[in-house]
Amino acid sequence: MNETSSCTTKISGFGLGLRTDHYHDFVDRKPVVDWLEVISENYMVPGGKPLHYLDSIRRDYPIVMHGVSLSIGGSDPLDRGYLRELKQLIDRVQPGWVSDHLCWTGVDHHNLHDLLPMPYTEASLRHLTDRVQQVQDFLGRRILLENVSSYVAYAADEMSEWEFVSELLSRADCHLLFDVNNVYVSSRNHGFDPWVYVDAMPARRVKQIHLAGHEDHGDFVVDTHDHPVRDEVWALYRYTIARIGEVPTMIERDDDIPPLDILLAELAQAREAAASAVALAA
Amino acid sequence: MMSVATASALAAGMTELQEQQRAFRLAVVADGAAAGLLAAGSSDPLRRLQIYRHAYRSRLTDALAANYPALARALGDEAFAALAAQYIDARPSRKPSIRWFGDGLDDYVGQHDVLSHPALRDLLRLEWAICCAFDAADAPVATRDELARLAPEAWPTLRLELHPSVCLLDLDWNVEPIWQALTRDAETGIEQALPEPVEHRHSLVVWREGLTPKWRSLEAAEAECLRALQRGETFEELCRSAARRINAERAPAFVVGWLQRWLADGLIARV
Repeated sequence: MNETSSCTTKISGFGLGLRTDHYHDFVDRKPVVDWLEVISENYMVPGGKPLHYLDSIRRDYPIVMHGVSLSIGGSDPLDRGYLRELKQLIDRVQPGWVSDHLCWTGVDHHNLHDLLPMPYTEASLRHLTDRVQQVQDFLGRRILLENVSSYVAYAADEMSEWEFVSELLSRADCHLLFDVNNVYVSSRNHGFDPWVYVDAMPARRVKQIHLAGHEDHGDFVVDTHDHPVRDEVWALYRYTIARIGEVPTMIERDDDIPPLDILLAELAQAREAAASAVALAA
Repeated sequence: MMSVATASALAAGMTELQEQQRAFRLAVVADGAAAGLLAAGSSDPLRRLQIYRHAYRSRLTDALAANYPALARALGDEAFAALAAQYIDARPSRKPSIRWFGDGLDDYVGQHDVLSHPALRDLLRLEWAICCAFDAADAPVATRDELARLAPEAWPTLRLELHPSVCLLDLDWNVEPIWQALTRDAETGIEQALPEPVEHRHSLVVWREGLTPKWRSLEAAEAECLRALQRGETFEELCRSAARRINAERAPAFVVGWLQRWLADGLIARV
């Protein structure tokens, strides 16, 4: 597709998700973070504190936008009002890119506010391809979609998740926000090999990586974003980088949010992991 | 252009997907059986559905508590969770952003007898107004100096406008001391006995000063004057309506006094 709005904000290196707990750290201390990711919906408000801090922090950091409500896989019509608001925020922020999740969030205008899995079927692929194209045409840019973690699978599934994801990226001509933790969580929940998933990802379409912590219940794993990144996920991350090369990477923390310095230390770990993976692959 | 065959395949797939999503939704929000929907897989899918069910309710309960922190404290965890559970089922979220979840709580408690004390409804109305003032639209505020520069003949027909964050509430109970006590408790972490609610019909104004929501209780005459201003009445009309409450000679002085305070507080948008 043609990128009608040229994207001048360059994103590379290692980032963090911007959370309200850390507003003052970013404004006052300006810690070294290559870029920040904001949750789009948190700033799709008329005014006040959220937009004040967003504008202020944007002056010092490149930003990417990450949405949770697009419901790209939903069967309700695309929410044009939501898309218009999203576009307004894009104009304000001038983000490096815009992402959301490969999922649906509600049906019959009932928003469940959750990232619900798609049935991995040809019908879903057709539906998603059409909608991704509509969104990309409206926004005038390619979007990134993130693979979500899941706890159940549909009886109707016709293919594996990795086949589904890579097929969609190519049909819809969109990019991937690859969440390594989500691959790990789903691999444990569904009993597949996460390395096979990584192998199936088209390297040139992977534009961003998410790392996060999860909660291990033994026979299932929950994607909680309230723990540090676990060893198994670091290993999968190193493998991903070795295979596809360096990709802008960030750590997501949404609960039990620690002081910023702890996240900065964890981000340094990500830098080291990526560097060692690149060295090994060379 | 899409071919007829592609369009009809898309429509058929869409119906199938819609049915799957409807069944999934029922399984999550209403403990629906989801027969045939999920793969048997490596573990019990019904147990796994519990993860979604739990996440759905806890996420919305948390969102409601974030919008109504004082109400949540006043009710306590158990009673607040019970109220949230009823509200979640009665008023499913229809907005893309969870930030607005709870926008119908005032209406809901007005229709259903679910609060242990009627003063709690006024408390939650105060909280929602604070919540809306927090991220209401930005606008420059008028200053005393700007108004002082107006020619005297401009005053009678002057129509002032309120800042977009301003919200006027009519309350039946004196909930301000209760809100203050609950908010103090949240800051100190020490729970103290709440003041007894007193029945008292009055008005209150909520707005945002800089980045911080504020509120102030109003006497009836000032509240009425602020409402007249909100309706778009001229300065002359404000004075005339104040004169019906206070004595006619002193009314303009009162209005000017209120106006000075509104300007100092940042209630008036730039003229």
